[in-house]
Amino acid sequence: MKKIIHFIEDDKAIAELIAFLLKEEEYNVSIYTNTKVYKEQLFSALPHLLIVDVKLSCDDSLEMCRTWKLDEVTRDIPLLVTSAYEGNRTDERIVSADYFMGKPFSITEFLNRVALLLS
Amino acid sequence: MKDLFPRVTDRVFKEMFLASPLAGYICDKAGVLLVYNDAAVALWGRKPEIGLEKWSGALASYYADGRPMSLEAFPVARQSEADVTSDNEVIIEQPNGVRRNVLVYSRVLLDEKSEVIGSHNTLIDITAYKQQDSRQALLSAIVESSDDAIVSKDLNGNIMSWNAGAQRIFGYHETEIIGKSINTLIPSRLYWEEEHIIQQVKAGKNVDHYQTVRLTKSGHEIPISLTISPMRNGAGQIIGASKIAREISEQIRNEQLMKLNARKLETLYSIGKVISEKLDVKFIIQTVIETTIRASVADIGICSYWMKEGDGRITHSVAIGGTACNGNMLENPRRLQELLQHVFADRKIVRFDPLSTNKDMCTLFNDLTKSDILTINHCLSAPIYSADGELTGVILLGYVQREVYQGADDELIYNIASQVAVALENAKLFEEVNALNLKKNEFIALASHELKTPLTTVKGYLQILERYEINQIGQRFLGKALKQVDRIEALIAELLDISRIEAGRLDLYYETFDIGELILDVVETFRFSSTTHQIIMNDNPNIMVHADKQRIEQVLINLLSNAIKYSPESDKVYVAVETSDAAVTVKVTDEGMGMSLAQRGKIFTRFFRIEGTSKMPGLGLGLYLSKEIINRHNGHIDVESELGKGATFYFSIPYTQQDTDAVKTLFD
Repeated sequence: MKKIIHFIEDDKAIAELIAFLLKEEEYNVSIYTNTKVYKEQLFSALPHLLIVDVKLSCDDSLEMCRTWKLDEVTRDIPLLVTSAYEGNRTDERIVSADYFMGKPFSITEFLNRVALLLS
Repeated sequence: MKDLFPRVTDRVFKEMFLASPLAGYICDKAGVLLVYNDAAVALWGRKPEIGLEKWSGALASYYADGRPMSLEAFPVARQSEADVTSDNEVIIEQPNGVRRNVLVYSRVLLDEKSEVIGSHNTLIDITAYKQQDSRQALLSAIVESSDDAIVSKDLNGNIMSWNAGAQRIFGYHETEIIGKSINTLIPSRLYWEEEHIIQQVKAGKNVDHYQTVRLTKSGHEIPISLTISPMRNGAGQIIGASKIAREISEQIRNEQLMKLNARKLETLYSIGKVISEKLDVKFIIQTVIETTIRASVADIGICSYWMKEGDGRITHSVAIGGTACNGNMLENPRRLQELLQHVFADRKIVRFDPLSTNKDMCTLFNDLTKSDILTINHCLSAPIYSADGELTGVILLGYVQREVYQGADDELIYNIASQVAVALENAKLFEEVNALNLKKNEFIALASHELKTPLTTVKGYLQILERYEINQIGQRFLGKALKQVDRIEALIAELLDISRIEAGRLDLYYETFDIGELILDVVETFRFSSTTHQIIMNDNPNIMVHADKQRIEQVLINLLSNAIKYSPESDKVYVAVETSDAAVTVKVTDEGMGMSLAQRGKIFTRFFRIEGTSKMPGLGLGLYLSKEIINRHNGHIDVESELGKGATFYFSIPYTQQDTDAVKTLFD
């Protein structure tokens, strides 16, 4: 069975790129443009991995990451955070995330990390 | 007498004449000298020839006013013609030049038939008396012409003499004051002084340069300096006191003026100094109001300043000080601005006296003053104008006492206000510059982040392409494209770092690692990527350090890529590692263009590019960043170089950090 990956990213170009990459790797990928949209359909199906892109002081996504790692239902599901803002790396709401990846990243490194988190 | 008289013989009379202490001589009818006594010889200073010289035995004679007198004009010659005596004053000159003042008494001698047979003459020496007289006249003249008041009084304090100076200073004419008590001149509260002075005088003591206050005829008190000496009579008894009074109003005024001017200068200087050092509006107005209150002895002071923000809003800053202030803040500075907006017109200073004439101002002061104790009755206000001439603030000084208020120096306060205007203008500009700088940093940070997102996509697609089987040319071009993407990435990272440093937010993540290994890794990468240069490294020791690995790597990469970039004519770069007790030093040496002393001084500054290298890529930020990073590690970075002889860049960092907090913020 294909592993399910949910990806929250508002930049269409990146979303498209990542979707392409992950599909190539035989993952089942769903892209959501923001946390609000994602939350509305969250309980239809839980992913095996959640990837969240965090913008500069974007409270919604930061808060989302925090609750993800607090909620009994989701806390065991790996969380990968990507961000163009290195400063987010130290934000207390995402230090509990499983991995932080600064932009721009190498796709090899990205895919390796995804595979690692899903194993 | 009848019994005695016959016994008095001619011989006795002759004896009396010759031995008399009064100079005397007898002439015949024609004036020829017949006989003279020793006293006459002493007075003349010579012995005139008897029977030959006429009228006088003196060598020369003068009138009392000093005109020469001929012999015929000598009183004896004149008197002998008429049967009267004379007491004419004459000056006679002795052979040694000494002149004597004499009174000449000449009396005709008659025979039994009452015929004139000659004259009997007496000369009375009045020289000593005359000299005394002229000394007296001189002293009187000095006293009269003196600018000082010279007054004498008896021991009861009654005025005995009064000169013109006294009249000038005190206003009383001599006729009005002589005989009156000296207390006429003394303010009643100072009567005790006179008693003290009289005691001193009675004890024979002087009172020197005693500064006090005296009353004039018009009732004004004037400051004077007194010198009082006891006066004695011929027998040496103290009979009164002479008193010299000098008016020192002018002197005191000058002294006060000098002190005042010195204080003014001091105030202006200290205000200028303080407010030019700081560019903070709140600090400036607080300092200014406190200094102004001190300088103008106000009970309360308010400095209000308003400025238009970029969006048209007006912000008010207010500082209040003074002993009368109750600690409240000005509730409605806007109201104050409105109140005073049109008050000044062309005037430098506007006085509200009494304050009660302006109800609004009254209320304003009442709100700020410990009103249960004090009432501010007078107010003085000075405008603060902006550079474009608009009223941008005011200084208000409130006074309880009228005298103090009247003494306030308009000019000083106006000058302070002008200085404040300049300082506040500077502070405003500084704040604007700061705000703009902050905006600039924010913009750089935002722009850099925004660039990162599309860059991620570009890089991603290029990397995907790389994974496909494409021909050799395609691979080559892909490699080139990816290399350029890396360069963009590095540039964005540099810009971000700069904005972080500027914002004081370059965070360091300390960890313990082997710097030897890190150096080797970096060198290996360069060996792999550089087609032009050979990197030579002496050895590869293991050295554990506690530092930010990523940042140290950044410095190493910067130094190595500079070494390669700026030595295009050469093909070698040397890397050396040295250790000491507390620090590790890394040296990167190239054989490139080198630099002058002046260039060395600027090489670590922001955006600095060595002349002639503008065609080489880069923003001029690398060394600046490296220096910041090494400084943050409490290390040291520098360069040794000569123009045309290559350069050695080196940095050292301590093995461990004193402050091992995981995150340190710059400039904190």
